[in-house]
Amino acid sequence: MEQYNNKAIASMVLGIVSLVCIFLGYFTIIGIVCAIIGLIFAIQIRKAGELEGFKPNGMATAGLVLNIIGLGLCALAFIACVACVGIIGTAGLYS
Amino acid sequence: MHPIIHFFNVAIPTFGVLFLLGTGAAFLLGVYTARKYGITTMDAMFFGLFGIIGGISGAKILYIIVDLPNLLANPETALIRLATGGAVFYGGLIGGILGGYFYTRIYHLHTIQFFDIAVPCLALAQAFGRIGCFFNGCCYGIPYEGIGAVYYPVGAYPPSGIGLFPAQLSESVFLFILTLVLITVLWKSKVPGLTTGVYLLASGLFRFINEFFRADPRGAIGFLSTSQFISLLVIGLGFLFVMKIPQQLYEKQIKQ
Repeated sequence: MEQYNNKAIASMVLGIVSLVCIFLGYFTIIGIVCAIIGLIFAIQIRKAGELEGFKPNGMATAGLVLNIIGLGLCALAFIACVACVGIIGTAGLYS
Repeated sequence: MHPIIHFFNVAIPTFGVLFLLGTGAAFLLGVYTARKYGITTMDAMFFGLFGIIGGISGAKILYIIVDLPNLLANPETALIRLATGGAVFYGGLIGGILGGYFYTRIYHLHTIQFFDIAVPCLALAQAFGRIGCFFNGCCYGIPYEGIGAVYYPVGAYPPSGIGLFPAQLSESVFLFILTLVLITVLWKSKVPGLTTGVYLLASGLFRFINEFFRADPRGAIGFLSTSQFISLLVIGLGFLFVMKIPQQLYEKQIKQ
């Protein structure tokens, strides 16, 4: 359980960091990386709770929610048209 | 056309907004399609999240691989270029598939059933993404003066002042229709993998044809565009799924 508590704290902290990174302009990629790592931790805890029969604590839930929001908002600021191979990055348009 | 939405003093890329809308709609649809195989909402969501994580990572990693010579040649701008532009769609697609596969492998879930419930959601998200392309001005069509021709304003990324074929919107409409077809196939079919096969076949075939109506600069392999070449591979994979070959291999692997 101790490792899950640590992961829950890490997940929540990473979620908060990813939310802060939305305001970093070009470097929202840092937020995306943090949100991805935090999200993996949060999912691990949730699945472990389901398989081992314990209820994840509030921090794990907060981590999951914050990381999903962080990933979504960082992606909103970061993702240009990835669907287009060879397109000029639209980043220049909103710089 | 409208690549940026201004919300108070914040400039938000329209493609990003539609990408998020599409992702949200896909997750909601995923909750519904997951019922087909009795998959829990949590598993369906986490599968999708792993797919997104894999997709984002894959798109970036493939970009770094493809652009590595340029990044090494200009190290002073490499960090900025890494942080800003650069994502390759097919890297995202491969990464997304691997991400989802990885999730089902870790937790011993039926991979093909999960792909079946995911493909209608993927088609829906793609449909929204293509509307984003339309607003962004990318993926534009060939010159065309007929019903539904699009005229972009001066200063937009596509050529302005001439009518263009609405290649993005035609793909979007097709993908919305395909979503409905895939949901129907999913509920009617008794064979896992058939929905995935139909998606691969239909989307690959349409993309192959639609590429002829696109005029934006993109890579080419021989006389085909990169997307057309990959579409052929996708169509081939779709055939294999319809002929149940990956399903049989998967069942064999499970038995071992």
